[in-house]
Amino acid sequence: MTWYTLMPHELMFPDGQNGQSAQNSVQTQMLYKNIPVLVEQISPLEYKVVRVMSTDPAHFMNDDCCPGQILRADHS
Amino acid sequence: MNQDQEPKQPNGPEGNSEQSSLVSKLQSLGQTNVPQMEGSSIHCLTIVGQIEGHVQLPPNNKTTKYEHLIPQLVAIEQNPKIEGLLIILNTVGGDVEAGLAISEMIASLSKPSVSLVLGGGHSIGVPIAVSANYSFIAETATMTIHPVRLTGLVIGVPQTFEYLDKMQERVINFVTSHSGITEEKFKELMFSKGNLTRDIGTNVIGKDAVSDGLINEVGGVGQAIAKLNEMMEQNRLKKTNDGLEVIQ
Repeated sequence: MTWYTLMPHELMFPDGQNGQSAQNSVQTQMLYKNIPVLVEQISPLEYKVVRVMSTDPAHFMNDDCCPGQILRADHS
Repeated sequence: MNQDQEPKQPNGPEGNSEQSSLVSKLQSLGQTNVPQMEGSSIHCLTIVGQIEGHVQLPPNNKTTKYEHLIPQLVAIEQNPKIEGLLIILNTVGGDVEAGLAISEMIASLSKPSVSLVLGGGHSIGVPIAVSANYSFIAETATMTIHPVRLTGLVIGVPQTFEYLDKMQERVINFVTSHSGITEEKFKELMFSKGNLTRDIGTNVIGKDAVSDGLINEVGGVGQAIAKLNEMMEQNRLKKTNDGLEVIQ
């Protein structure tokens, strides 16, 4: 593993480990109205938007899936 | 811009209908549908934080993952509605292999690409910045060029050194073949002493990056989009001319 970065190694791996801890185990990517979003599950039915993963600038104008919005799984 | 363009996202739901039917049930609480916006013919790739490759970084790191970027680049290449790519960089560096993979993907796109370095495009961010057809750097933005070195477990054998040297050579070759900087100048920046506090190397700021030949122009998002539009127009003209020749 070769890192080419400005960030000191001890800042990247604060507890001395070598990157084995899964970073985003609670984060998953899914589609919301055809927009790929990275979400974090906050309750069994609710997901919080972390990042819009799309490359289409128009998708970033959609208020419904701005980072921080809570999406609800509708099981009806 | 395509007026009748459907806001279909590039890596569409074809092929994973099971997943999309599941997630299409997701609805925002108490909000109604917004009118669908027309898609853009320019797509934008934002590369922020660390570039994450084969190893997952601990949660304190902000990362851009290559498994997210590479399918997006494939989608941009294959979607005929997308005519140009804007790459916005603010990165501290990251995995050499992942960074070079992304750079090669951008460099081999058949569509015009423009990169813009904002804030910083350090270490492995340098090859990514120069991989686009045309590059911009904000006046206050910086790029740090320093040697590639091994962190963590280092075995003091000549092979380790040779391996690193080859890794470094890959970065140098990519940068010199995709920008106006000479190998001598790039190496001089990479190994110069007394510029960085904890390392050898150079911190190149806005105008200096342009005068060294690393970046094409100093500018912001306005200039970058204008340049991209100009290149897209040329591309369209070229396509029309090619079509005419075929008819004749």
